[in-house]
Amino acid sequence: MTLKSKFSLGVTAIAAVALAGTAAFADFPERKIQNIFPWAPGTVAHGVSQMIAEGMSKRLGQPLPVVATPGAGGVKAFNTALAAPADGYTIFDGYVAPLVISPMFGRADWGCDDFKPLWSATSNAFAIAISPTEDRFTDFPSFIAYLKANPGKTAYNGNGLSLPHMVSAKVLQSLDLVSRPVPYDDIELGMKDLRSGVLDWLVVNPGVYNANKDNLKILVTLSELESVQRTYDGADKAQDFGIDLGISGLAPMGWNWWLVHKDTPQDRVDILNEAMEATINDPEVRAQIEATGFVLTEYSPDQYSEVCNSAREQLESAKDAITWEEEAVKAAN
Amino acid sequence: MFEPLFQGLQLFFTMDAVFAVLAGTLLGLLIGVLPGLGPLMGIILLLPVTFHMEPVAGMGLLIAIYVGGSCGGAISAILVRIPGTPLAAATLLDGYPMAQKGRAKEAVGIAISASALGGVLGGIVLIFLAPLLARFALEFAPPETFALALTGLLVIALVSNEATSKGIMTGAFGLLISTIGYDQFANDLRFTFGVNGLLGGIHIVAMVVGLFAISEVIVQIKSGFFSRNPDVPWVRPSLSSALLVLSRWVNLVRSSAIGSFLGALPGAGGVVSSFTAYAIARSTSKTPEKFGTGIEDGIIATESANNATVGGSLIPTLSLGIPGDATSAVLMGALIILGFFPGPNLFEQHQDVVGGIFLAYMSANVVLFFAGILLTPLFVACIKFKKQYLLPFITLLCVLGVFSLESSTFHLWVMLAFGAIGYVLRRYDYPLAPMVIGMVLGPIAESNFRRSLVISGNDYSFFIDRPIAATILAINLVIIVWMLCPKVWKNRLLLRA
Amino acid sequence: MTKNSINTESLIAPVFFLAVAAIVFWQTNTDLVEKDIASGSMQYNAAFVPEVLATVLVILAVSQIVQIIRNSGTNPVSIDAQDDASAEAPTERGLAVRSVVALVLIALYILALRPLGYHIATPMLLASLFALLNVRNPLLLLGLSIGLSLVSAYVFGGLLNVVLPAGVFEIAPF
Repeated sequence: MTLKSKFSLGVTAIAAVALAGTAAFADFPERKIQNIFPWAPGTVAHGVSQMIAEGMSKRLGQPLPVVATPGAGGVKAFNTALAAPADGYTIFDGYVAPLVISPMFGRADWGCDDFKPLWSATSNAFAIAISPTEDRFTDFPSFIAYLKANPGKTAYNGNGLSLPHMVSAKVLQSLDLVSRPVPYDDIELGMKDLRSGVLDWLVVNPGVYNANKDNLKILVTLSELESVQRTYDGADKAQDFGIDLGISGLAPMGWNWWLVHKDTPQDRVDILNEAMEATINDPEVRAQIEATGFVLTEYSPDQYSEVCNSAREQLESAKDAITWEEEAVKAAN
Repeated sequence: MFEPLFQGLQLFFTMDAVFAVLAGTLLGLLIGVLPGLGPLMGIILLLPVTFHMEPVAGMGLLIAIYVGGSCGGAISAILVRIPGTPLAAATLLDGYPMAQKGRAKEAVGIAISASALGGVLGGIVLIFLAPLLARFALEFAPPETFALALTGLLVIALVSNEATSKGIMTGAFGLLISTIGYDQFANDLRFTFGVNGLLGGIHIVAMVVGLFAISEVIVQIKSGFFSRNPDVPWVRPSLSSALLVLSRWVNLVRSSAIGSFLGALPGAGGVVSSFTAYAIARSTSKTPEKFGTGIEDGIIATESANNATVGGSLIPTLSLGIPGDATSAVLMGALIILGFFPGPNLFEQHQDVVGGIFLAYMSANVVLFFAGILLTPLFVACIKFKKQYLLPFITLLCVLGVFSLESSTFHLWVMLAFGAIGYVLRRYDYPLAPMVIGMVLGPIAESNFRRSLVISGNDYSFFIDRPIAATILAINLVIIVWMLCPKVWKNRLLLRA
Repeated sequence: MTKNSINTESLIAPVFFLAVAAIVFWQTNTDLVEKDIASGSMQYNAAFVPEVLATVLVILAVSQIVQIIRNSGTNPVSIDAQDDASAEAPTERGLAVRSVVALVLIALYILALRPLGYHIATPMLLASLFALLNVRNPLLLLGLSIGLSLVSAYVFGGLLNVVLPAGVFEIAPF
């Protein structure tokens, strides 16, 4: 070994010790933490994640920006977060679509247990809506009767492998109804076409429902949970008509669970968890979030694996519904 | 009719929004004054910042830059014979001779007052017409939207005059770029080559910053003179020049009407309106021979027209979602990213946002008048900025702005690549505006075309059975035939008419 | 400058568009076929619209190329070339080199941004750009580079809450 290389080795060693030292003694977090959000900015979902982030930021003493990184049904955001170091400074905003659905269709290769969970964040439940001026059907049973009588003649907003479409396809399959799914970038655009009359019915989420109450009539919520009825101003649930939709619990809903890299040091995860727990129990944050129609799910990190995997199993059964629908629509025309 | 304005009051009169309009107008003036940078560039450089703001404040900032930038160029045109923006090229015709006669002070004062007043008149047209047009568009479904987007694309190619085929090429290229990413109809990815950064498609901001700003930096470096100091006279215009402009109200109203009308037509834009207004002012004048020698009416016509164009161009952009030029295409892109899709929905569900935008536009013109008159000495000082300090700063703004979109270096590579592409295209006279419009209208045209077919079950008569869609498509057909017919025939037809 | 070299230069743009079209056709005939989304009725065929556009590009690019070649005989010296001839050749060339260097500097900056962090890479980029544009006073050059970099970091990182890369040295004051 030459003198020069010995010297450089020494410098490297000192630098390494110094760096390790700062890392060990520093208080986490000492700089910004980012949440990688998988959908477009400016959406209601983005706002909800920002509300939680702001609450956590107050408790952690560092800013927590929610960086919107839309693309490929959320897969881009997950890839981006995975490429960041496992140091607790990057949080995955783990929405069902990239977390569970994309791997189901071979678009990603991770599973529920490839991440370390923080607390679960929110859920937003879907509902079937029609125009208030609609006279061919006025409630859920007459809706079913009409679709039965006119297989493949009606159209609704169903966007490929998105969650609302998987849920609606599953429901249609359970009830043996055929309607044509039309892809829209977001539900708002579908809303416009429900009004101009080219769509017959719509699958909505709380955000769109709240913004369009005058032009929507909810036929049925796609979840049996009490909180969902409240979100949709006491609309009926399928069970009220004695109808089984074939899907229940968290599965027919959009939900997100905040996650970090699997290799993140546990002490940092604990710090994040403490801040998140305090945030979701903060009455002010809760009121803010409830006003959007999103619901805090309040699952603890310990429950993550069970909840995520069971939702995955249920959605697995809905996977076939998409192919079933495709063929049924073709056959009906 | 005035409902949006009332609803918008609350959104507009916040610290953020008022400050954004103030800052935007000043920045716009400054960017307009600096040779080479126009309102489009200003909007592009500040675009990423707006995504961190409230919608009305963000749009207010951008629109104020548009307003200020459409006027600022006049100051440098009048004082140093360099139009800060192409918009001011016509102002130079009478502005510079007037300054040479020792009346620089009046010339700048008239230019600013005419701009502000023309802008306000354009705004009034906007506030009356946009909601009407939006209400008409309420019936629009995918076939109509597709037909209209197609019109937008065709007209752009049509107006790129001598370079029709070059315009179609850059337009088609922009359309192709917009297909990168997830295809929701086929449920899979297109043209992403396994690159994570491409999964969400090319970000329009990264593209336009590269295409316009980075390529401009290259052009500026190649033209040299890094430390040249233009020789500028000091002037301080007075507020009373507004009275002079008002006393020529016929010219003012006529030119503003021309400006807002041409602004509302896709493809025309501020340059065409200012030259048209100038030509008409001259031909209706009692002393046409005095035009070009430094006459007030010359400045009033061009400046009121090009600022009224701003209001006009917002009409189809906001109410139909069809941008008329690159600048309004970028504004429309910003609005979409902020979560508001232009069109009838915007007017119905987000009246407050529409009203806030109207108010921001009107206030920007008011700010333009006072700030323009009072701060002209400051802008004059800015004409003295040397390139060697300006260009690195612009580069820094580009880099930071694009990085901040998603905290991603991938977008920076996209920006750099489009910088090089933009430079090559500019060098060989390929228009860049169709590319931006293609990028914005591409997804709308393609998805609504395919959506129509999904809804109708692959039945093409869907497009013809709907009267509005059929009418718009027929117009498109006429445009295509017109584009294909040889120049000689066109000239003969135009002569006969 | 000979007339042949002018021709090859103005061919860059149409050839670029041809290359774009080639990439489109290559993808629609390989990747999209593998994904089974390049066939069927138009609404589900992801290849249809891109192929139409690429065809337009091919037709127009080829007609451009034909035009350029045809014009080279009748009109041997383009306006562009006259400009080149009248300008002082060495400075013109020097400026062209500088514009390329500026692009390379930006590319190096993008490469260095993550590893070095914003607060080291940015002053370096600015300083080298100032130097490239003949700012010769070292104090001014350094002061401006560091000052501008810090002010922009404050605006973007501090006010707009953008996560600027901290780099290996973890410098993140805002």
